[in-house]
Amino acid sequence: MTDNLNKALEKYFGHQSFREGQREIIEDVLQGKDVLGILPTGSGKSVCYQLPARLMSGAVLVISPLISLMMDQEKQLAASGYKDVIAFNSFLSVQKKQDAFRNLAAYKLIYASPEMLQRKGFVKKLSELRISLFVVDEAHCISQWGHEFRPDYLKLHHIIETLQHPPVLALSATATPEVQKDISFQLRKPAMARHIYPMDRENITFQVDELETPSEKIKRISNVLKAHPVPTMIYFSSRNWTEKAAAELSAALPDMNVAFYHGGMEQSDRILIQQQFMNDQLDVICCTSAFGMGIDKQNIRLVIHFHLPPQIESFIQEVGRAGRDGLSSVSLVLLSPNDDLLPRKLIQSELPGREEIARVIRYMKSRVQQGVFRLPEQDILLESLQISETKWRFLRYHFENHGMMDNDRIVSSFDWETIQEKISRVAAERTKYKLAKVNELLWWAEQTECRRKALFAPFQDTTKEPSYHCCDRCGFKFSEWAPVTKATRKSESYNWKQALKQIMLQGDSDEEIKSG
Amino acid sequence: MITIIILDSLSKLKQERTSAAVYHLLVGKRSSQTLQDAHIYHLTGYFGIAKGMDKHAFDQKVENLVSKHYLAYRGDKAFVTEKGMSFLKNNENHGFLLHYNGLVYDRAADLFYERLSLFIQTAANIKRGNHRFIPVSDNQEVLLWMKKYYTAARHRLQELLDQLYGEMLPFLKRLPEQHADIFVKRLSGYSHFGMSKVQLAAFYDMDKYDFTVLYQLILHRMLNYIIYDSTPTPTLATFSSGLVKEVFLTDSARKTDDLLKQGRNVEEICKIRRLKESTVHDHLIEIAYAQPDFPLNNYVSPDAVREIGEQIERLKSRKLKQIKQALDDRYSYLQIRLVMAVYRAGRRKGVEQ
Repeated sequence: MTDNLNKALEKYFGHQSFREGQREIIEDVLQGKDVLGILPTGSGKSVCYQLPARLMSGAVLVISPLISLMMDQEKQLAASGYKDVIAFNSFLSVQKKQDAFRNLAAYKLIYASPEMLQRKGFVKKLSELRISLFVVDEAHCISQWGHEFRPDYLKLHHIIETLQHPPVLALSATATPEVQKDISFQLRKPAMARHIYPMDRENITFQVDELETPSEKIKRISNVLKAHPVPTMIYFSSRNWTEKAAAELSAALPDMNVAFYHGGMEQSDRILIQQQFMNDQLDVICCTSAFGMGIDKQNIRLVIHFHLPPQIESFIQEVGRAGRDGLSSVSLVLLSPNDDLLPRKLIQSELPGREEIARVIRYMKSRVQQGVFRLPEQDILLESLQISETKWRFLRYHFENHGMMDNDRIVSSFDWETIQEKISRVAAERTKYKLAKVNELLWWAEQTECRRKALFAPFQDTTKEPSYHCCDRCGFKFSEWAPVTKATRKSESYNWKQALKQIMLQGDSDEEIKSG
Repeated sequence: MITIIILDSLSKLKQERTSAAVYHLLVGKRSSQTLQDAHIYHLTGYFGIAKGMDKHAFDQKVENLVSKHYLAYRGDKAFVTEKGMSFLKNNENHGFLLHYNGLVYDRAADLFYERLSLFIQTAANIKRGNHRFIPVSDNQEVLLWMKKYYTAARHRLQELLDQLYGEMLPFLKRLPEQHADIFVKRLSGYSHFGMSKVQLAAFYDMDKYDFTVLYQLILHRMLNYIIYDSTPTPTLATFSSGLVKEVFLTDSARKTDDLLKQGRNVEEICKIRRLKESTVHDHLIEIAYAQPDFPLNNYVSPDAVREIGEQIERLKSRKLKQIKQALDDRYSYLQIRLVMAVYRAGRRKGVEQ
C-alpha cells in the first residue's frame, strides 16, 4: 500500500514524496475512518483529499469557506489537466451552475461553499451521488472559539446525515486544542482519528520592530530591502495603504520591482500581478489579506506586517507563506502606537450593534404584522435594512437558531423583545471576544521571552529547534541574515517590436527567450 | 487625454446639459437619457470609455479645468471658454478623439482583447511545451469561446501566431511609439506575464483615468482597423466576430422592441410589461436612434415630420420645451423626440457611409 501511494502521488501530482502528515492522513481516509488533520500552512493540506479523490470510487465533496481559494485550486487543477473538478459558489454563472448540476455525477471533486449547502435542491442532488469522502476545509470555522466562526458550518452535521454518513475529513492549519475538541463535537464525530502536527516552521525567524510613525515603517522596510533584496510580501490592513506604500517603495528602491494587490482591483490586473509575483517578475508585493490564499510560491524570503491582522491565527497563516522551500526566511512585524485602532474598527463593523439589531427586528415584526412572511432577495433586503452581509449572516443564524426563521421565511410571531435582548448580548460577547484576540497578538509583540515559544504556546506544547535563526529575543540581527536571493531583472531599454517578436515566437529573437 | 475628452463633450453639449451628463456618458450608464444625449450631441464615441471612474474623481477633473479657466459656469451648466477651445484644438491628442467608437464597441473592446491575449498566451505556452499555465483571463465567457476556438486551432498554432503577428504589426506601426509600447507590454507570453494597467499608468506617470481612456483608444483603433480598414485582417477578425453589435439597445428597450415587432402597440406593451407609458416612450426613442428603418409614420404623420424638422433646424436647439412652444404645443414631446431621433440617426448615416 505504501508503495502504491507513492506511485499514485507521483502519477497524479508529480511529487516524489509525501510531506509531513499527508501519508498518515490519506491512509486513514482510504480505510474509511473519520479524520481530524491539523497541518501547518503550506504543507499541502489539499493533497490529503485530492489524492483520495483520484483513488476512491465516487466523488469527494469539499466544503470550503474561501471562495478565492476554491477558485485558485480549481484553476490549478484544471491547469494540470483535471477537468472533473467543479467549484460551486456565488461566482459561478447560472448557466455553468445548471450545466454542472445536470452532470454532477461526472465530477470527482466537488467544492462547495457552506452557503451552497443551505440549498435543499443542491443537497438533494448530492444525496443522489455516491459521496465517498466529506471534507471540511478550514474546519476551525465551525467553532465559536475559532477565529473565523461561520454559523453555516454548524449545520454540517445535518448534511453529513443526509448524505448517509460518508467518512469525514476535517482539516485546519490553525486550531487550538479547544477548537479541535469543538470540531469533532460539532460534527457529531467523537471518534475521529487525530493527526495533529506542530505548526511552527523551523526555517522562519521572527522579529518585531517598534517605530514611531508609518513613514518610519516605510523607511525601515526600504533599508531592509536595500540590504536584502529578496522576494517579499508586505501585509497591510487597508487598500489605500498598499497603493501608497508601493509607490513610496518603488521610488526608494529603483532596482526592485514593487507592486500592490488588493480586492478592489480590476480582475485582469489581479491575475497579472499575482502571476508576475509567482513568476519572479516582481520582488515585492504590498497587499491586503486578499492576496496569498492558495498561493504556493516557494521562495518568499520575507513576510513583513506593516499592520497586524486581527488575530494570531491569521498572523501564523500569513507568516507561513514564507520559506516554503525550507530556506532561511524572516517574519518582520512593524509596530507603531495606535496600531490597534484599525482592527478594532474592523471588528465593530463586522458585528451588528444594538440599534442595528433593533432595526432588523422592527423590520421583521412589521412584515409579520402585514402578513408577509417571506423575506425579499438578499441584495434587496440588505439594501433596505442598510446592513452588511456579514452582519446579516450573523443575525440570520441566530434567528434560525431561535426558530424565528426557516429558509427565508419568518415563522409566525415571537416574543421579539426577549430575542432582541438575547441576540444583542451574544453580539456584544462576540465583539468582546474578537477584541481580546486583537490584544492577544499585540501582547505577543510586546513579550520579552522567545517569540517562537510565545507565539505557538496556545497551540502546542513544544516548538521545533530553529534551523537558522530563532528570533530577535534570542539574539537575531538582520545584519547576520544571509538569505538566498533571486532578484528579478529590470529591463533598461524597451523595444516593442523586439518584445512582440519574442511573445509571438517570431524568427531569430525567438531563441533568446530563457526557459523558465 | 481625459481632460480634452471632457472639454470636447461639454463644448458639444452647448450648455444644454450639466457636466453630470458627461460623467454618465463616460462611465457608460445604460439609461435612455444617456443614450439619447450620446446620439443628439454626437458623443457616441465616448460612451463607456472610462468605466469604473468614480464621480468624485470626475468632479475633480472638471474643477481643475475651471481653475485653469478652460471651463466656466453659467448657472449650473459649464461651458468651454475661448482659452479652453484653443487648448482643445491645439492639444497633441486632439486628432485621436475621432477614433473613439464607444457605443459600438461597448463591452466588445475588452472581450476582444481578452480573447486575443488569452490566445497568444495559450499558443506561446503550448508551442513551448508548457501545458501548465494560469490563463490571463478567468472570464467564463472568454474561456468558453477559447475552448471552442482552440479545438479548431490546436494543430496550427504557430501558423496562427505568424498570421496574427503579420496583421498586428502594420497596425502597431501606425500608432505613436508610446501607444504601441503599451499594447505590447500588456501582453503575456511563454513564462512571461504582461504589465497590469495600474503598472503601465505608473510607468508612464499617467493619471489612472487618463490611462483608462488611452487604453480604450488603442483597443478602439484596433477594432476600427479590423472592421473598416482596407488592410486584410482575417485572423484578427475571428477574435472580434460576434462581439460588435450593430444595434445598441438597453436590455429593457430590446424587450419592448421585440413586442413592437410582434405587432403590439404602446398601450399593450405597458400592460404586458407592467411599465409606465413614459418608460415605453423612452424605449421608442432609443429604438428610433438605433434603427434607421424605424416606422416613424406610425407615430407622426409625414406632414408633421416635415414641420417639426423645419422647426428644429430653424431653432438650432435641442431644448424640447422651446421647440414644442414654437410649434404652438400642437405636437407631443414624444413626437418631437421621435422626429429628432430619426432625423439625427438618418443624417448621421448619410454622413458616415
